[in-house]
Amino acid sequence: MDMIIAAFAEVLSPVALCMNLMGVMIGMIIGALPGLGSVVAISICLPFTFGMQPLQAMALLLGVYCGSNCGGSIAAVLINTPGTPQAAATSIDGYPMARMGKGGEAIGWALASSIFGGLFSCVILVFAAPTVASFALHFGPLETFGLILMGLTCISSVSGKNQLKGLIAGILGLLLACVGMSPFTPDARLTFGLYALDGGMDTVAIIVGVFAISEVIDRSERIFHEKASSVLSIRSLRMPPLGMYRERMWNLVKSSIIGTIVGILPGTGATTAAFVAYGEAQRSSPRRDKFGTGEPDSIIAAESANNAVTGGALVPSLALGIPGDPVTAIMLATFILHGITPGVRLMVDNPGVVYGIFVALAVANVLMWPCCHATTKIFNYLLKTPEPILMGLIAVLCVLGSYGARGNVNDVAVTVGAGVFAYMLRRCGFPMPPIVIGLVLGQQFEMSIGQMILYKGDMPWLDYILNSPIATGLFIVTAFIVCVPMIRRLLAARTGEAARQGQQNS
Amino acid sequence: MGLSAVLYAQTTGSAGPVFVDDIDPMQYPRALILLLGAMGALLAGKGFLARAERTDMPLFTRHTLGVMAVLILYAAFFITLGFFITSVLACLGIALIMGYRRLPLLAGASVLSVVLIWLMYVYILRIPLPSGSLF
Repeated sequence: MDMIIAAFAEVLSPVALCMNLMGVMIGMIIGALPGLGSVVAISICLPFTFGMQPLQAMALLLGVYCGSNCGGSIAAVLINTPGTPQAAATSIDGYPMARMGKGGEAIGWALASSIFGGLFSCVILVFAAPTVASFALHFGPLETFGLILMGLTCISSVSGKNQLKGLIAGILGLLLACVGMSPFTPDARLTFGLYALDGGMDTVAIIVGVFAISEVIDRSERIFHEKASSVLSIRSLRMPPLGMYRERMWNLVKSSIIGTIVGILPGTGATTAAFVAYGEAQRSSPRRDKFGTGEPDSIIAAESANNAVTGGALVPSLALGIPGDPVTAIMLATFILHGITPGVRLMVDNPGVVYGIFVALAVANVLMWPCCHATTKIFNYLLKTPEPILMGLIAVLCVLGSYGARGNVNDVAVTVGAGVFAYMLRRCGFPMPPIVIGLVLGQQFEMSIGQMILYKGDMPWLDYILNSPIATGLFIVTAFIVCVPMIRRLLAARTGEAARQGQQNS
Repeated sequence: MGLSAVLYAQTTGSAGPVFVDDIDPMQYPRALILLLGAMGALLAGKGFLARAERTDMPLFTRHTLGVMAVLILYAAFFITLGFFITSVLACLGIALIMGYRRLPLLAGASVLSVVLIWLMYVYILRIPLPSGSLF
């Protein structure tokens, strides 16, 4: 307890607090720019930490991490362009809410859920870091496959009435993830002989194209068919009243748990967490029929899960010295730069720094509230621009976002190509989120299948699966997620038919 | 179905696994492509049976084709002409296609926004942008 109080005193000192605030603000602005995610934001800030104390440096980077995770949702809600891949699930209901004139509320839900998810994962981090980290070590290829399969099932839930088209879009996403070198052999696949594609297609470039460029092309014609301008504007960010949380509290807690668990597992990340939580919310929410039309439940699920990843991802990093994703890898590098060796001895050798990190993460989550207000105001000014000029600027920002992520001009061509292709698909009624889900989970999915085949050897499949209680549990949950809506639809159809027959008889 | 046929042709040139225990790199994409083809056939079958849906606007119009052309040219000349010229031209092109006719305001807003974006990327974010062969 003394350690935590001392950590609070250190993190709340003017310099550390200032660094934390600056980090959240920078992260939020960069996160809101299409294409520039958490990794870019943290990489930009890393050189500034060289002259700082370790805790001040971590306060800055943790602020950037949390801020960029939340900032992506502002662009996702207001211009249907997820600033970061993890915000892609937020735009599914956030943008329809904004189009109904509830943009301020949508961002309010996103912010409140992000803060809750972040703080929830902080608590887990403080009390369960070593225990939970050792649980993550039991995750092999089979367990990872089970988890990703569970994530892929939400393709069905984001497809709405177009299940077949949603599945086709999901397969297209999985195929896009295959482009480039095979993860197992030095063979280039689906590159059409273009060497530029040997390294694969950048996820950010495709996401920006699929969501934003296709929207620009679509708006170029729709603007002549709609009477009122659809440029969205919000007066201010509106936090949802406390009473509205009562019926959504379980969704908030459940999604935060999903986000924290997914964050702890190496190699998964915030995007997977957001879609797994979205799928689960879509399955269990009493308002599931309204998903895709502007339902806050989906924003709550996606945002609380993607921000809960921040604390979860730090669990294996701090307790075991294993970075779960590129962001935590940069953070571990920052430790080493400041003479601190991450790993199992970190909590014993430097407890002050570790508790300082816990507290800095919690404070960064609280600081998101004023920073999000400020970023939303900046965006509001941007949205007052006439729509044709705004669409031009969005196209420029998208192209820059895809170019800036890797400094590769081929990514610009990928963005434009993906945008044109996605426009044609969406006009033919294909939903866009399944493409992103397939794309994001595709590489890990293929990798886990390959590893599973190699690990299994000659063992029968059933024995191999039953040997792992975690994997068995994940497969049962996945089967449950797939079967329950089908059974529910069948029962509803039967009830409807019985009611019709009853009416005819009477 | 056509797309899956084209993609499948791409997977047939591989020599397959080198060792007996190796994983064939084309097996996974091939399975996905076959699944895509099957789904496509199912969709086509459903399409024949269902009544044709009327859409509120055609897929390709001069506006959508114009914006697509601007975006393709933007990507094609992004390195040669540089970020500044291509971005200003893309902004102007898209706004004009979308029916905006207040040219002085449009030109001012496009140039100013692109300059601000350039300053932010180059000096604050430290991401170098292509300057093009004209400068």
